[in-house]
Amino acid sequence: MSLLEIEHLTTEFATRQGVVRAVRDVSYSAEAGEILGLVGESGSGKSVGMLTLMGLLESNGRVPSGRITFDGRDISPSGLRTKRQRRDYEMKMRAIRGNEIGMIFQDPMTYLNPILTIRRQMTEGIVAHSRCSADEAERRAVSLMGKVGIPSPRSRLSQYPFEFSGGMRQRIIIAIALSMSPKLVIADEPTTALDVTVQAQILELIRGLALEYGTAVALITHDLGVVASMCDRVLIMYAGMIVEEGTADEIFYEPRHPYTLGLLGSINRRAGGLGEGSRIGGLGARQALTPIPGSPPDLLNLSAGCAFLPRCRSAMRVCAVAEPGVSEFSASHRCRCWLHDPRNPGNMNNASNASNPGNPKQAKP
Amino acid sequence: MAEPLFRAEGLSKYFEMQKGSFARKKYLKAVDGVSLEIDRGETLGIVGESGCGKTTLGRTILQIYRPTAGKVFFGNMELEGLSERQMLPFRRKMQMIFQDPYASLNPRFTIGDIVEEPMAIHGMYTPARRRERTQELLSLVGLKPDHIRRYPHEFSGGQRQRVGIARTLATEPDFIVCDEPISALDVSIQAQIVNLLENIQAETGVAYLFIAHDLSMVRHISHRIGVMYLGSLVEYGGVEQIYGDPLHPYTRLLLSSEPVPDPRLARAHRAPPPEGEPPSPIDAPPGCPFCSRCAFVLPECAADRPKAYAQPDGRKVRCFQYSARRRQQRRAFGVRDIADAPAQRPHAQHPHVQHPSAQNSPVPCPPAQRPPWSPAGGGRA
Ligand SMILES: Nc1ncnc2c1ncn2[C@@H]1O[C@H](COP(=O)(O)OP(=O)(O)OP(=O)(O)O)[C@@H](O)[C@H]1O
Ligand SMILES: Nc1ncnc2c1ncn2[C@@H]1O[C@H](COP(=O)(O)OP(=O)(O)O)[C@@H](O)[C@H]1O
Ligand code: SF4
Ligand code: SF4
Ligand SMILES: [Mg+2]
Ligand SMILES: [Mg+2]
Repeated sequence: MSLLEIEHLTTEFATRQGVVRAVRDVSYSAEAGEILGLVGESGSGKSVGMLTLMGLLESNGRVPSGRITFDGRDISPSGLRTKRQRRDYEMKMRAIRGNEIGMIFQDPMTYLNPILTIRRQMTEGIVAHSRCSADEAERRAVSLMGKVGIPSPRSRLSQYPFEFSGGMRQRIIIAIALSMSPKLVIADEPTTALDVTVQAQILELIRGLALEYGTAVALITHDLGVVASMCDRVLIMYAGMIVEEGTADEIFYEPRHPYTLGLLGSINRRAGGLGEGSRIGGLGARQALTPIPGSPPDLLNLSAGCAFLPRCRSAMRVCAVAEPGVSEFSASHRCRCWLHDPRNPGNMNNASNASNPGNPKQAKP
Repeated sequence: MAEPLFRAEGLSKYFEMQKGSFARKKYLKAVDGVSLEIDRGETLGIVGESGCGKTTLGRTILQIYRPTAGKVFFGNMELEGLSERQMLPFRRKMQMIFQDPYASLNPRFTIGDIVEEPMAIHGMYTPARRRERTQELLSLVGLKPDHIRRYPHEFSGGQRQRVGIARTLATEPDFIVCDEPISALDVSIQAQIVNLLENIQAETGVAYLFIAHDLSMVRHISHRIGVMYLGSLVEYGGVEQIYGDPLHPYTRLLLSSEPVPDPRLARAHRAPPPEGEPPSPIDAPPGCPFCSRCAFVLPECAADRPKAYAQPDGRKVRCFQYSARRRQQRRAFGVRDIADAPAQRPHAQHPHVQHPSAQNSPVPCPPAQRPPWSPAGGGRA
């Protein structure tokens, strides 16, 4: 049993223009101690997926289907019909949020209260969580702040968030998350607002969460460099769906979905930084970028078939007719594309053709 | 040697900080003694952390800010002291592309008006020719000519950035400052815009000052690189010199912090993260501004500000480790000095005229983790 299991989750928003299906039939799981990357363009449903999991959807959002199991408990937000069911769900989630599931956002100020001292914000949670004395809570707060790399933490306790730099605020958030010893931490673009040198420090802290405390981390990012250096497994999202899922190596070295291939072609894959790779692979001719043409779809007017179709270089006639199904390449590697769908007549013919490396059936061990 | 298209010498821009009438005046040295040059058809990439002065440098170069000190030459014309009217022909030749494709376009103007406006301001062409050229520009940046009557809000971020680029190109500039033109865009759209900028350069020979914090994109597009820290260029040279073999301790820190989009490499090179954050640029203490975070501090670092020392391979490094005196000392002790090995750098004489794609010889380089002043022959374990 995985720590977190999500099955066929769909989230919709009622808007004046119509229904926006922000998350569509999403299924995945996360194990303890694992760093799971969620990658996709803005608007692809990464944040909405996480907010659904936390039960923090805005009032116009609803969850028509889906099952969420966390640590053996059912926390599905779907099928809540009576007032009582909704109240029970809200009680359950209140106990879980911030305690068993921690959150780190792009802008730490969404989580910190600007008019309370760091002492207040750090110790309140500790006292509530472990019912210890205020002194004991302060001692723990100081030790946690030291752990996340805040210099002279005792003297900084009485400061306010605005007196901290962006990187320091993000460290405070991580210290607060740590104080609850959560089983799962959701980090939504935690370093997008930070400089690379500070980003490296924060990422190291997040990696420590998973390695030292066995916390599962769901890391939302659009930076493929961050994904490569942090994540064990990766989910690639497009227009609300998971279009490819695999280990970091599978995604980077054996990508199958045309969108994943397009993303990798859009970046300069020569190492940007130091390290032998930048020398071995780096000094040759510079690599041409092959961007994905077009722009992300409008979730309001999705047509039938594959949502990536208008931008896809490999599109076939069937892609406009029906949504592609999921094909498996290994126990961890899956993708949703007609190129690999076993129902595709081309693939059926190729099932006996050993020379086709793209055939999902053969890729199975 | 031919005159570069654009040259800045000791360019500085200080902002005065008001701190009550009795307090001593404080200065924020946003740009402090920057010298650089840009040739026709060339891209100079500027990298550095937030607040280090990249935007201010771009704006001072374009004379949007009057420099506190230093000289700026466009061709062989010095821009200092020109009146706004005398500046006008130069403003036409030097343009800027902004980071935020949402804020930089007037929402009440149609796309056609937005692209045409600069031509009207500079009194270029007849009205009929202007409209024709607007359509040409829109198709050059990959938009449809019939988009001319639409409004900015009808376009995506990437398309708006294309509109901004078309507007910038309207006055046929020789030099464009691109201030983080791709930061606000999705990864797949970033590559579209970078390719567009490169194609335009190949076609028109325009020069770019390309400011960005994405180090791998800067590497992709630039011929020369300036690494900025707290208002000054700490290292300045050819793109493969700096990425392949960084010398300044800050450049090394910056490059090693950038996550590599390759899981195997990332696993192989997992290093402890750097320590410290940039200090405040207000009233910075004397000495090297990188002193507080530097792993290679020398006794002289705290007292004096290092100069931009020219290296044998042509680049400039603002660090005492690369002063003539220190390099001589290292030579005297038989310690190898990477910058002393011109044989490894086939383009040492003209680092900037050489396009990176022209480099095809596999240059053997020493491992990056070793400081450049370590003993010759890799004698250490
Ligand atoms: N008009 C101004 N008045 C006072 N200070 C300013 C002004 N403009 C910029 N600064 C300061 O100058 C320094 C450099 O700013 P600048 O905008 O050039 O940084 P940057 O390198 O472009 O940063 P970023 O990557 O965040 O865009 C900063 O400390 C900034 O706060
Ligand atoms: N409260 C809301 N009402 C209507 N649409 C919403 C709301 N919140 C998010 N959306 C839409 O849902 C989609 C997914 O959003 P989000 O999950 O935030 O994307 P991202 O992958 O960038 O995190 C987007 O099209 C967004 O506009
Ligand atoms: S299903 Fe068709 S359109 Fe969609 S990604 Fe695959 S090949 Fe392209
Ligand atoms: S001058 Fe001194 S402190 Fe500054 S970067 Fe060089 S060695 Fe470090
Ligand atoms: Mg988001
Ligand atoms: Mg800026």
